Amino acid sequence: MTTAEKYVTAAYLVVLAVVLLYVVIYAFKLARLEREVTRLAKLAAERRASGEVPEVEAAEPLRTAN
Amino acid sequence: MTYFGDVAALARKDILLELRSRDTLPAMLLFVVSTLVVFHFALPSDSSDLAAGGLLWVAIVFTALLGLTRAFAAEREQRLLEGLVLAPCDRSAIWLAKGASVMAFLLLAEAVALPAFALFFAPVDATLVAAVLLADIGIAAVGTLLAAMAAASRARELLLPLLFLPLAIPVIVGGVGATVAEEPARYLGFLALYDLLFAILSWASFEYVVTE
Amino acid sequence: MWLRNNRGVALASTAALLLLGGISLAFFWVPDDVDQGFSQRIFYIHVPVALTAYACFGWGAWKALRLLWTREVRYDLESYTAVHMGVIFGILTLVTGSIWARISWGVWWSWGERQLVLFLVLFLFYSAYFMLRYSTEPGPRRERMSAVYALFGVVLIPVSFLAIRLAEGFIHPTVFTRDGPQMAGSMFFVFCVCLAGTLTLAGALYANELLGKRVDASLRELEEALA
Repeated sequence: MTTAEKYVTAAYLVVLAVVLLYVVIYAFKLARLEREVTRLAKLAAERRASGEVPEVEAAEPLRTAN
Repeated sequence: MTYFGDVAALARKDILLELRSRDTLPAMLLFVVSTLVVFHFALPSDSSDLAAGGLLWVAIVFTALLGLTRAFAAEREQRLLEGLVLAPCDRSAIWLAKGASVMAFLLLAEAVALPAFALFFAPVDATLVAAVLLADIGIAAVGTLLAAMAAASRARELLLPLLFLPLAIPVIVGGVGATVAEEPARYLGFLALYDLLFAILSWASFEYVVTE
Repeated sequence: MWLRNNRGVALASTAALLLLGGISLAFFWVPDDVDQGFSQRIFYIHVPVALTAYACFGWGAWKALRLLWTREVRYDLESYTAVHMGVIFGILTLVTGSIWARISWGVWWSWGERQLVLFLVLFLFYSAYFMLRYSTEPGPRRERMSAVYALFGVVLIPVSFLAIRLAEGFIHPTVFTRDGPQMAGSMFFVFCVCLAGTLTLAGALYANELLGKRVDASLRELEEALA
């Protein structure tokens, strides 16, 4: 590969690397969100079991609405 | 009270406060002269007067930062800003008044800095003075708004330079250009444009920054 | 209907297609530039990324304006996410631009490259945006200050560009010239595909991040309701 080709490829790879890095960071964030949701769901179930909170209908799935 | 009556009253308050406490202005004066002396030692011997002219603008911007950091200090310490905001005056009057007092301090600091510069480095001409005046308007306009933002945050003194310096770059370009370039008129015009745009923007958005 | 509910998926898939297509075209199909040879191909990623960054900052400023106008909280998240995207693409612009400078002229940085200098200034400005957000208590005041700052940014873009141009009047940078590619039709086509790809990519990342932030906010409310 000529030097020019190496640098051009490097530039495109950098873009890919940054996007992938973003995905990784985002995966961590989603994992944390999932932990939170499970914890809160358990908490809500306990509350419901002990009769404090009335049955709540399953909420609508979160929409990506604007 | 009328709008300009409010502005005058607020500006008078700030200037009176400064006259009594005498903390910000002497610091600014001393700072700007010290900086100029430091520049003498920072410029290698074959640097031209042009380099010194450029550094003058660095001194002005950093001295302005010093003054701006103190701009809302009194209000913050005594939680006066909430009171002012509750007062039945247009919030932008606070901006105008505070900007005017910042401008006054800047002008006083430059009244010392420019003669010092002429003494240490190179003569000062009318174009430079015009550039300094125009730059002061822009610095005061934008700086007052940013100082209000920084005052609301936890990291105040650290935050204001970070917010201010990127916005100060065009001012420095205009100022240095007017000082060293062959056709200063373009740069003076550019400073005027900056002042117009950012003064209007700051005036219009100040109330959003300051209300709870 | 499906499209509206799965906006993120639609954007991501379109982005994938456009970018894969565009990059393949840029590497394998489009002819070499007459003056610069193979290295000109960086253009197909560098300029789209730069334009996308501008678009993100503009989008962030628009959402900021909407916030100040209507005071609806959601615009704060949208503006913040858009600025975040803008900074990511801004960093990419700086890096790809630096690599291009390296190939073209052997230096990693050139003050003569106006677009690069502009992005440096914008990077400093928008990084301060995050410092502003992090050091202020969450609430309507932080939302409004961030919105005002985002608006300042968008005004700063043309003013800075003008300043950088004027600065060349007295800075005399070593101006390397790079002949703009004489855009053959095929080159323009590939450029457009890549530009559409990066814009869609920004949109996809934006939609995802926004969704994540909204879930975060809802979770916090839920936590307060249950606690």
